Amino acid sequence: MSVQVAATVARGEFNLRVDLSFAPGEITAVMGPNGAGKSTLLRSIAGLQPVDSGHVSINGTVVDDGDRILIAPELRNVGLVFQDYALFPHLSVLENVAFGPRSRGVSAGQARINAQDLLDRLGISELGKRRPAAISGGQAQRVALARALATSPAVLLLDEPMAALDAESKVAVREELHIALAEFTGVTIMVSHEPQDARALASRAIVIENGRVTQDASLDALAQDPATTYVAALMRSTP
Amino acid sequence: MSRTSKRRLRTARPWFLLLPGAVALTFLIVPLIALLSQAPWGSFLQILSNPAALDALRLSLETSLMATLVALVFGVPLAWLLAREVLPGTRFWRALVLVPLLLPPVVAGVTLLAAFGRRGLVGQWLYNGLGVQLPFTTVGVIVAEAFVAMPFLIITLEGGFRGVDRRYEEAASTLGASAWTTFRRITLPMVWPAIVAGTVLCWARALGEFGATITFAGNFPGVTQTMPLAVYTALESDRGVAIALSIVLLAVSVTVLVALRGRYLRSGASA
Repeated sequence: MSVQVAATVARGEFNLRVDLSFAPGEITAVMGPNGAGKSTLLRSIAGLQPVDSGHVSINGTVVDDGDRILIAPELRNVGLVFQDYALFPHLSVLENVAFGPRSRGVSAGQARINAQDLLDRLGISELGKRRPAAISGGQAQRVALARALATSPAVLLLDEPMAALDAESKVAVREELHIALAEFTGVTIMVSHEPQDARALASRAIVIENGRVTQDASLDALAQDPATTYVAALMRSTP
Repeated sequence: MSRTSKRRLRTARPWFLLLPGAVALTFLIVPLIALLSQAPWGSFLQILSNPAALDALRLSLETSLMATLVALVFGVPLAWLLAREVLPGTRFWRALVLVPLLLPPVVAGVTLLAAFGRRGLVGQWLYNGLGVQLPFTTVGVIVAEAFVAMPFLIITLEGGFRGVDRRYEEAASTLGASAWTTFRRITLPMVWPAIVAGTVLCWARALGEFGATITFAGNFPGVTQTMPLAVYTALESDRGVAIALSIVLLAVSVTVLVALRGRYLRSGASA
């Protein structure tokens, strides 16, 4: 259950060029300035952004070769937690979590039972009937995680999972995310702005600046031996 | 205190806006009052239960509902294509869709004759090849109504589709939903207010359709004589009947207005 991205993605003036491999069970934090290409990397793995050359493969299967092969997102078995969660506003929390399995052919009843199970495990059992508009940011984050995990993805992608939270809920959510991710056996890639989050959750950090990987190391190595002035400044800002 | 508030009121309503505004309001309201005051209330039910009137009413309901159905089946997909700019030259196609909206209805009828008349561009092929004739038939009424009313549905819905955040559709696809499932379970429910508003506007326009219908489908009682045509015909013989039938159509318009007054019209228009 590995992921490999050796590809170039051009987006107007900007291009992302990387050659990265991710191992199962490994939690990687992707850091970098705004507009450096972090989200583009996630989107190209999820299938929302085709690559222009090179390839993306999941579990050894090429899902995008920049040419003839382009497997649609719905066939990739990748879970994506969006930055502001993108919970479906017209569906209840339970229906949001059950959406993935239902789309993949699980019966409505079974999908709901499994969804409730997931909500129980993430400690939000009582939210099932509510609409996304009626829950807090921290709760929405857990629902988004539950929704992504409900399809048992091979790869879990998190786009700034804590950016939309206030400082108070961040601490609690970070703790819960840590537990949930520890149980997950696939590849986890998390875009993050904050070294604290990366340090709490990930073992490996990748820094992308201006479309290129400038450092790929453990978080300790990042702090002790920053490759660029950006990394140095980033790690210094950590309290 | 009351003095200052009076002064403020006066400056808030300048006479050069107040006066013409009042004229406009009167102009719009007087005909409605006149219609109601001149109605033959005593014989109202008797007029409406007349078989000719009932025929026109039934025909109007049938054709306008069919035209709305046609508009939904073909207009919803087109609205989506325009909103997502899937087709090359979207701006041109969008402008083209608006043409029937601005075209004088009689001209719309003439264009339909040119297209679907017995010797029309498509009509000759339909008539000679399949033996199908559209002009002067009930199906012709539906065609005329759909042609004129569908743009209302399309522009309302296009706005709705544009208002849907693409990330919801992206999220659905990463969760394993096919394009069809995403459309059915995510996109359509999210534009539901626009669908309701567009459908009702389209239906109301189809129900009131006159010019294109009489030009393309003629004025045959029981076959193509819808309510507006019956009103026009009755006006030549019996004003009371014309007014009574008009009141029925007025009642429908008012009902639509009241029904849409709430969130549907507003969210449809703002989406």
